[in-house]
Amino acid sequence: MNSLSQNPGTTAGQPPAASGHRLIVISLALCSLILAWVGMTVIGRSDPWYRNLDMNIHNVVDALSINSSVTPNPFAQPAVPLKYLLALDYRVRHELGVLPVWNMKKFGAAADPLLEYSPLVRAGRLQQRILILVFILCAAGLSYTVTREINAACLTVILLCGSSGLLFHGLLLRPELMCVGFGNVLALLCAWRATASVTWGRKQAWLFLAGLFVGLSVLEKLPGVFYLAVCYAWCWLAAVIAVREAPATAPEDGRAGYWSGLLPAASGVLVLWLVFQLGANHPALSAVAVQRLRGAALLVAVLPLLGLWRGGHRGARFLLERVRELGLLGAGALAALPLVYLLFRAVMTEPSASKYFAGVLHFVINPGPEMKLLLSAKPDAAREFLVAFREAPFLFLSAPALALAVLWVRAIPLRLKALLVLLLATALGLTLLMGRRHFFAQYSIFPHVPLLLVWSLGLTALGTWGRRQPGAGGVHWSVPVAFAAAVILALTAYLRLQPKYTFYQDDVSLPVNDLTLTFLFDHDAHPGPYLQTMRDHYGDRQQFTQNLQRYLADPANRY
Amino acid sequence: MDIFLAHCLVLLWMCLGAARPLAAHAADRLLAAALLAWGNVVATCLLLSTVNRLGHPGWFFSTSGLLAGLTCLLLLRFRPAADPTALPAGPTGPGVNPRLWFAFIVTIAPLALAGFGVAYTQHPDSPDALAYQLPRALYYLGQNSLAHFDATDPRQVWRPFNDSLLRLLALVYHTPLPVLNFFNLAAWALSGGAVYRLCRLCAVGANASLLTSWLVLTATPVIASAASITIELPAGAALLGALVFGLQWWQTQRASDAALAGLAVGLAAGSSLNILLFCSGAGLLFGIRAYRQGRSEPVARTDGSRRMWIMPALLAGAAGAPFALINLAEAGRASGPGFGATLFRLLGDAPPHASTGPWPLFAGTAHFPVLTVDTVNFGFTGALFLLCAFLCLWRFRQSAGPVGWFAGLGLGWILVIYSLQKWILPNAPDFVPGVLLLSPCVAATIEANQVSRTLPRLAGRLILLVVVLAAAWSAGRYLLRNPGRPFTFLSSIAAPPPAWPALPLLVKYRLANQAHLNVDTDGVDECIFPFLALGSTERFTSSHTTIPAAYNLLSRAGDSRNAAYLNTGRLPSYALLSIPDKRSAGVEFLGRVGAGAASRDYFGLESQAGRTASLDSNRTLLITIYPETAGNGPGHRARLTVAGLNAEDQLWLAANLENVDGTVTSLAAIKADGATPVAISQPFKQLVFRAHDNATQKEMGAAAIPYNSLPVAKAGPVDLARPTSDSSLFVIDGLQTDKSGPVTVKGLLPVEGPFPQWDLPFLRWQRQPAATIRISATGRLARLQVSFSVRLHVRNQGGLDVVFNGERIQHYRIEDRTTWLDQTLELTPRPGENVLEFKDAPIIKEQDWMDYLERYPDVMKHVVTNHLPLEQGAREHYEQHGRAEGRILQMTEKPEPTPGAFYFMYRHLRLEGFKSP
Repeated sequence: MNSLSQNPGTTAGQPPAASGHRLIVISLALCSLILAWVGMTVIGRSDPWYRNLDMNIHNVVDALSINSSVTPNPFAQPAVPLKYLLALDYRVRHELGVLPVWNMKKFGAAADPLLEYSPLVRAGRLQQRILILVFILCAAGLSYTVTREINAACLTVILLCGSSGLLFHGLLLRPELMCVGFGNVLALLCAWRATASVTWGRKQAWLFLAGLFVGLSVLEKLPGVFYLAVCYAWCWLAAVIAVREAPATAPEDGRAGYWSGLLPAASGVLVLWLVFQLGANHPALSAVAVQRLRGAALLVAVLPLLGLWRGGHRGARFLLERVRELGLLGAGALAALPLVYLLFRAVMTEPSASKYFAGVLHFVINPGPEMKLLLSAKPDAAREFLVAFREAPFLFLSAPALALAVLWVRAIPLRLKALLVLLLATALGLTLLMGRRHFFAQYSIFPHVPLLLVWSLGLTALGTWGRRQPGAGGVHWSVPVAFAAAVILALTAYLRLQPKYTFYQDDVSLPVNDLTLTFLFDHDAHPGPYLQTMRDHYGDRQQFTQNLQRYLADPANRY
Repeated sequence: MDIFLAHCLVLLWMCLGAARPLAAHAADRLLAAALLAWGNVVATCLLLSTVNRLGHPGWFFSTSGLLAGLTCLLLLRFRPAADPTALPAGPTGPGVNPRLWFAFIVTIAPLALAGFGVAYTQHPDSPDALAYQLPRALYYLGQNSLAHFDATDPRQVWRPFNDSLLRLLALVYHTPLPVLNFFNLAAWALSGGAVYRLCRLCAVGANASLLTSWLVLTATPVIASAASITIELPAGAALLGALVFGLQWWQTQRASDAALAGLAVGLAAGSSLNILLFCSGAGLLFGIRAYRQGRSEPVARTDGSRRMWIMPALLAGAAGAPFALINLAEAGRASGPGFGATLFRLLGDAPPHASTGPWPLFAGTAHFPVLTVDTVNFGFTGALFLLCAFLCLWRFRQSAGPVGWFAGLGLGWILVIYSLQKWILPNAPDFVPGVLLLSPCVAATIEANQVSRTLPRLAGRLILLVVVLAAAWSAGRYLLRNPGRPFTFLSSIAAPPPAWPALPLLVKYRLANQAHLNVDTDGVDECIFPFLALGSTERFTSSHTTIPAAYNLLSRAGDSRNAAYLNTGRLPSYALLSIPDKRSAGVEFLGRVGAGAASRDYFGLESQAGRTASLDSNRTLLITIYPETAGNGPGHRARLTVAGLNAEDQLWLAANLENVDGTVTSLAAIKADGATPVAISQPFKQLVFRAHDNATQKEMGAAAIPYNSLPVAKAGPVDLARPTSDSSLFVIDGLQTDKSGPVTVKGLLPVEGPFPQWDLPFLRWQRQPAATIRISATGRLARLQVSFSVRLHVRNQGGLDVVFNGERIQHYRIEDRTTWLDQTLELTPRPGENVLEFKDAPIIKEQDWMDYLERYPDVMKHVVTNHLPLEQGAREHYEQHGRAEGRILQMTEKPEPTPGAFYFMYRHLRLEGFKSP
């Protein structure tokens, strides 16, 4: 069972009313996208480039470093795909002739590097806005894959376009957007496709891909590892539902036993090659990290051996199949490491890429020491949860209520109900997880996205159910209502986004505060060549401050 | 390590792919894949040996991977995957009872985890592994081929080598040593699956087969071999593979089963002489039976069966015979002294053994013995297996079923092992193949017991219950409470406990970082592997000829030093010839390991010794004389080897025979290291070796080896603990004890020695910056006298401060690493406790940047504000401004860096306290 709808999602033979409805919802979705883009652009236009420098400037400087084969210093969170994309973006813009400074060498050679910040930060923000649109479209793809309803996809677009938690990330360069995008959207999409696939080849390819996206999510931000549990939980739920719905399943394809193990084995071998490549010459990769990577590589490569046993008790076979799925997910997640390393090798020299990746791996694989510094010693889960709740109380209350309503309707497929429960659990779990530190404004994306997906999927399910009720004809009355509510949400997004962003960080006023100066001039996480460039151009901190104040005195230089 | 793991994964999956067309069942596939992988390693070694690339990891990985890939592709291309439903695999009765299956997993999983923990943390420690299996593999890697090398221990070159080649897979990648244990652990797991399959193929039910598999896995001889290094378990697993596929061939006539059986036989026989003998005997019986059967069969069918066995026979020969072919090519005979010793041990003396009888559960004599690899034995499980074997022999005496064969084979194995040991209990690993062979008998008996009458069934179940409980207890106790190889939780591994006795520090220091180490030993059964596993040495060779490019480790029996030519132990004799004016480095005495007759002396010779200046400790030649024929009386040829004599010394060595009548016969004039054959024709007084200067012919040194043992009065050591006057209150010899009376010594390593060659009875190392002597409050103590003799060893210069009660009373600067500093100091103690310290003193002066920053707060502010590293910021400021401004920069002293923390070496440390006269 692939979809909520029992009808194929084609337009052939549909009545004109349905086509008109389709046109309306697609138009609404497009309008929402445009509205979201405009909202973000308007806010961004009046936003000085020196705001939110804690992450902006690190990502910008690291992207410049990557383009010069200078090793960035891993700091606080990996954000590896983000930096890589930013570096690529700078390269492309340079090739197009719109960005003269695209690497550290050019930055150092600039007459006044201060002048270069603004276009670099602007380019980064533009990239984030584009990623927001891609994110929304992918989420729509997830909704469509689950329901096979264009309504669900469009509703997802409109709802996400109204999410201040999501649009917030179009205004600054932070890793949370891609972490959620990879983990909660793409990985879940692949996991869904895997469990819906009939052939073992597709199933394992989708599962591997799901793992790969989880790996990329972890490389973006550590909480991404939570999505591995989400995907694996979905494998269990789907399998239990499949057994319940069709106890006498068809005999398994005998080829799967061996061939399905090759992908994890290859992944394990690649990870071992990576450890060999990095382990010998880079002390940043600690013994603990090396040991864990080796253990994980061996585990994912050996777990599929269990697939050789195809006979035996039904329960044992069920468990073995779940273990194999875990192996595939893990293999995909691990494969992200050599894949990303090879991507870096394509744009950096071997020593720089290896040194950088050794630092990243050390942080990702052995995060304990860093986490001790970052996490609260005595986390107050209730207080932090309330912080998250206060930002979107309606969403937090309505999504579970909607899910309960869906659960109550017997006719709605069990798979969809299970997915809604899983999304609720994801939102709740990530809110609690992010509350281990302090629930900052930028973390809203973690609960908002799954809760909004619950909304779109739940409403679509109820709408489809209502349409099939005796006496119902054409479009159910609830559909326009739902769309109207969603459009209102999208229209009011700006009103929620603007204050959220304005109150995010108090660093807009002049003269700039000490922290901003540090981020710009001499933060110890910046790579050596950047610090040297700044010293060469501006001497000491005091001289730099004077230069910066002089530069920002002209309002034209602030944006 | 990573490439090793990657290689294992590649082998595993490629061989599994290749096994798909060959075997249908999961256990069979795993077994076939393991056999193919082992065969792949053997083939890789043979191929690389022919092109002298055996020790190159890159070649090894690529060749093995290529072979595995080709095998996989060929088999997948030309054979469809085996269909499990097409094979008549055993009886068609019900499968395993889920509860029994659950119990199996619940009990075996902890044992497997415990075995994993032990294998992961413990170094290999079985005597055979340390004496010849592992050194042999390292020497093969060092010389890049499987050719013979100079070895006194014949097992290192003559024995079948497939097991050593298997370990070579790990050694070629310089993996941590515990990894070597995992081959046995894998063999243990495979044995469990193979036993199950074997029993099933013998038409035994699934439950009885699983129970038998459990009994085999928990049998003490098997579990003792699981986390260690023994040949018998991997070879036994291969033997089981041969039986599984042989039996399968018997039932299906599939050529692939015969081929796998042939490969397995070759691998097993190419690993162990015992199995080679066994396979030869079993093969002969099988041949006779086949011949007799062939005479009564139609000609066409017989011809088909014969042709089918051509490929298996070729595979068996290819996997099992290379060692014999190499022996043949190297020495003109296929077997060495090891084979003869095994084959004809019946005629010789039986080896001593600690066992007290043929049926002990544990070979020790204690009331409640501690289980170690040496004390485990056949156990209750073994007794049950023997009982079942006899029952099956009786039960199947009329039928031609396979269970009766296995009873005969297993009992035959045990009988042969016992008889080879002259009816004294063999070691535990020797039982392993017997246990494996008898397993179908146990399964058949268990199954037969299920359908017998009530009383015998209850009795059988009771016996089984007792054996199961005893086996579980023994296996758990062996893995978890084994003092020799203690189990450690993986999460709590900090520093694995040492598995070997400590080596002398000088040996460790000298051998730790050599690029190439050449071993020249005259020891048979010498535990040499710990010397080869000390550090990052990349290449090991074994040669009786000194290799100038390598660090040469020379090992001689302790009792052969200055031993008479006619010594009762039939040992070679060696003498040290000291040459005080020797120009280049000679042999250096490194230390003695062991005591009594088993003791061995170790010497080292630097690489490129001729181009290395000599030190006090290595101005010596090592002269060894080996009788070349049995006995070492007159009328025999002998071989004279010299080590440490370099052309740069401008010396030559005269080897003369002083006859009884006073005349002198010149034997040889030797100008450089090497072996010289000499003829000794009559009884003589002594062999005299004199070193002469090439230019002046002046004698530079001499040594002698007497013909007969002469009583030599040994001078006893000076008793340093004797008081020197009546007013003495206490005396302590700090070299011999750490605590005596009121005095406590801390900070020195345990005493080493004696080293009479260097006039060095004992020594102690100070491997930390300070050593402390505390003298607790002693009434009437008025004067202290401390005398010591100390030197550097690693550093070329250093400083020593003698500090008494916190006050530095003497500072010494030592400018040469070989010079002894001998001092005696008189000290005046204070009432109460007195503390005397020997401290490493700073001698290098350098700028004190911290003082600079503390002295000038403005500089500190500047450095902190600019987020500069403190030392770097201070230096930059001083260079740019401070020097011109005339700011003060204090100098501070630092001690000389000490590689390996070898601070000082003491040969004498004595403290005596006196009262007022």
